[in-house]
Amino acid sequence: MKKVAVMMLAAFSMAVASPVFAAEMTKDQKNECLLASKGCANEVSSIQTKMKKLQAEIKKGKKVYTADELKKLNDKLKEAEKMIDEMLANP
Amino acid sequence: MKFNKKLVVLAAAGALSAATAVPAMAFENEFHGMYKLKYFISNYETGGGGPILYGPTPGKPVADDTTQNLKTNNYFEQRARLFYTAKANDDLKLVTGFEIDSVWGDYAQSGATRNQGGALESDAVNLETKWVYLDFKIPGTPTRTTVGIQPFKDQLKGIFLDADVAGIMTKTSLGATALNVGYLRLYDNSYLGATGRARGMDDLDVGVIEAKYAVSKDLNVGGVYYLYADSRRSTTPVASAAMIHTVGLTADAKVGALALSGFAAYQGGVFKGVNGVNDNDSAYLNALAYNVAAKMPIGPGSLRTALLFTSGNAENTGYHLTGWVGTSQSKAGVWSSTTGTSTYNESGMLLLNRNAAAGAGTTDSSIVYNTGNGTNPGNMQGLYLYTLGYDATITPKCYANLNVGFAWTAHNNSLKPTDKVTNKQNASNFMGTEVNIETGYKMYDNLTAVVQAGYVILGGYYKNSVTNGAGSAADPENPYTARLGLNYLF
Repeated sequence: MKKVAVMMLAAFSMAVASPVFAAEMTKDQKNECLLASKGCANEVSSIQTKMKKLQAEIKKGKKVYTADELKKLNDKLKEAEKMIDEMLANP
Repeated sequence: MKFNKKLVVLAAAGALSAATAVPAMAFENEFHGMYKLKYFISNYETGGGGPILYGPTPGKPVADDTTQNLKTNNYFEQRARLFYTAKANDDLKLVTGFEIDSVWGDYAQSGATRNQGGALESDAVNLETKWVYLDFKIPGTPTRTTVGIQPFKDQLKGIFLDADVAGIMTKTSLGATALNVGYLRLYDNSYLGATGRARGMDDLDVGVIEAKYAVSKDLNVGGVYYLYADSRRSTTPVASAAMIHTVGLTADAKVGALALSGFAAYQGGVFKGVNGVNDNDSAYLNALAYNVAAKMPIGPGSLRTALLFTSGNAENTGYHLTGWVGTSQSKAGVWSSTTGTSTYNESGMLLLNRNAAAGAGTTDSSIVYNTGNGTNPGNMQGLYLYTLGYDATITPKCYANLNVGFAWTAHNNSLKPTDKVTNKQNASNFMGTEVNIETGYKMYDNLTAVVQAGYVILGGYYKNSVTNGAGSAADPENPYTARLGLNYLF
């Protein structure tokens, strides 16, 4: 019975574990939330935090991302920079 | 018991798979925005917007200001912008943007409209819709499309059109080439009841073609074409219609640490019925503009310098206009000096020209308010604006920018101030020199406290052009501004 209880507990703890946040990514992991809007859960980032995360992911380079994926991340960084420019400088 | 164990393992496996399964593509809700508060101390800025110090007798900023020296205005202006993006995936999203502007103490409740609501009890209906557009990639093509009310800034650094507009823009990337093609509808005058004609026949439309080619990692060259087609039954100075073609070449390059950019542009077109006689009574436009700019890291910051030229009209233009034309139009078809739809932010100026990046927002005022430096196509004076600036990062949390700028009109016409002693227009084209400084301190990652201060020493262009409190001819008082602000960005 003890065994069953431990297994249930393990299964339950896994079930409620929230998806890994970008900050918890290891050096070799892809950030699927930034890359493809997958597994973002309830993550809400300010524009500055989003840019920092993108810069960190771009730094991982080709060891982690394909050339296409890196281009995608760079495009998103440009998009965020444009957003800041438009928020502050748009008449 | 055996059966039970199996069941537990199955349940555990099920729970595990449910936990690790990631939705194929989660719907993403993105919220961003900013809040900007500024306290102004200025002799010419009054919480309104538009040009200051223009015309043969430059007006005083406050009507009852009869003192020798102008009285000082002080006021608070705040602006909030809220952006919500509903993102189905990277290739499909709806972008919305809203804005709430107020000057403290202005109007409140039912007496208030947009840009107001800062008076006692607030409660104004003052939420503006800035953007609503769909942004999507056309499947199977390299083309992205934005459809709806959206921001548009031309690739001539904003000197033709920099505003929020309704339209369709497409952006296509083909290898090293980026191509933008679009259609923008600025006004449909049938909504004003002025024409009584079918929808879409009396429009102000803008067509856009922009191409940029990356020759190398450090060199981009491009070409632009903007069609400005005004089919409205307009008034001054256009009686029936206008068609302006703007073509330009753009380039930017990096030579070591030095960043260079610039453009050269030509405007050609026709204004029909300029004297209101008939459609054949046409004036023709031939205007030019160019810009060169350089930026280089030196010491703890970057040194910037730039020159902007726009051509101007002479006194009696007849049917040959030569002044650069932006897009400052009101809904009634009247060329408006207070409608700001062109910018030149590269200057770093606070008062000399319209720099939307350093301005406060709705209440921005400047000496050269639109890039043609006039109030309508017949009196654009044109501009030489040379600027020099240094942006220093003092500590990771503290920055300071120092700018100096010099402005001249390119041509003389009826807008030039008259010397009240000689009763003749001043000989000098020199409008003035601005010196300004901006410093900022990051209180948090998202919150920056800012101090801006600028002073303009007016040039010979303004000599003896006003009457002072004692009734004698005098130079207008030099404009100054000091602003304390908070910028929150998230």
